[in-house]
Amino acid sequence: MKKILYLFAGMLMFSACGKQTKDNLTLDITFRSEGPFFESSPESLQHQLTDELTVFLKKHHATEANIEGVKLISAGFSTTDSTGFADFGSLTLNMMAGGDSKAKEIAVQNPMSAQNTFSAQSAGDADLAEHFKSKEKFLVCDLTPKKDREVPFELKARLTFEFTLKD
Amino acid sequence: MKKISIVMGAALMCLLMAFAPANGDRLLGVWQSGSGKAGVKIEKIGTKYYGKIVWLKEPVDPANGKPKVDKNNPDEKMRTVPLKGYRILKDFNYKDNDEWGDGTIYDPENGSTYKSVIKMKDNNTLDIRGYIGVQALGRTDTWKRMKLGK
Repeated sequence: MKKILYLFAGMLMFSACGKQTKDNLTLDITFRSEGPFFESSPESLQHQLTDELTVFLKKHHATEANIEGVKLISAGFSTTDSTGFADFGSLTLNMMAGGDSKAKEIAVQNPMSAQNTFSAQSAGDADLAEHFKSKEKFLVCDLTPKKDREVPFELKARLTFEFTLKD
Repeated sequence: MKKISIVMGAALMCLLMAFAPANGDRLLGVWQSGSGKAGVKIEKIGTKYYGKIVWLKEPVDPANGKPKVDKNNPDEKMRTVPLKGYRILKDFNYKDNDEWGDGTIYDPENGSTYKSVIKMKDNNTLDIRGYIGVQALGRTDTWKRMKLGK
């Protein structure tokens, strides 16, 4: 009898937990800044996320309310600029949102590679669920120039986020 | 003639209002901390206000001769990030009566983050209060708008 009770309680707990789905969303983002850039005076390059999440959630027949957790799992950066990243000393990627979500640093690279591509270290284990649930979502890339620079700069980021969605 | 003057006046008022910054945007610009050690540029992202260090009186760490980094950050991965460019004011919303709230201020000297409110005393002076828990338990610093060439 006791065994049956344990089994029943276990089944009840299992069914109460609900089903979770994990899937990755990869975003290809282009950040642009017109310049001029001044030595050691950091530039903020912004990108507002709009349709990217909607398409991803639709694929899972989900809405923002189903988002349980989001983590940045990889951040790759590249540029087609002829100087690579040689003109810049460090990069910090931040996620910011409207509503109650607080700004978070999500990736950092210091010093930066002078090459045309690199992968940045994720900063901490920030959970970004509240940011992605927010109506307004921004990715802000802070770049610190090593020297004055007149010409515009374009940076491409490939960011992969791991989403945990609940039914 | 009087009618034309009124219409012209109203049109001029509308034009001025259209180009005047929203009240909350008066916060935008570069501000020098009370100690005079840092200049902080306040910018707007979405509807919120953020401030990052853009100027340091002593940009080089005398211990190693290199640009100062955020060495006291509780997150180990952030300790190599240069202080110049670090966002120390975050998430401020404009309330009313020249006051911005709901934000935080980060003190790089001890690596602590405090809740914060900003009050503009006049166009060139800010009172920034950092506190823990209730506003009564905190410290206010007065910042001045930075002029070029400082």
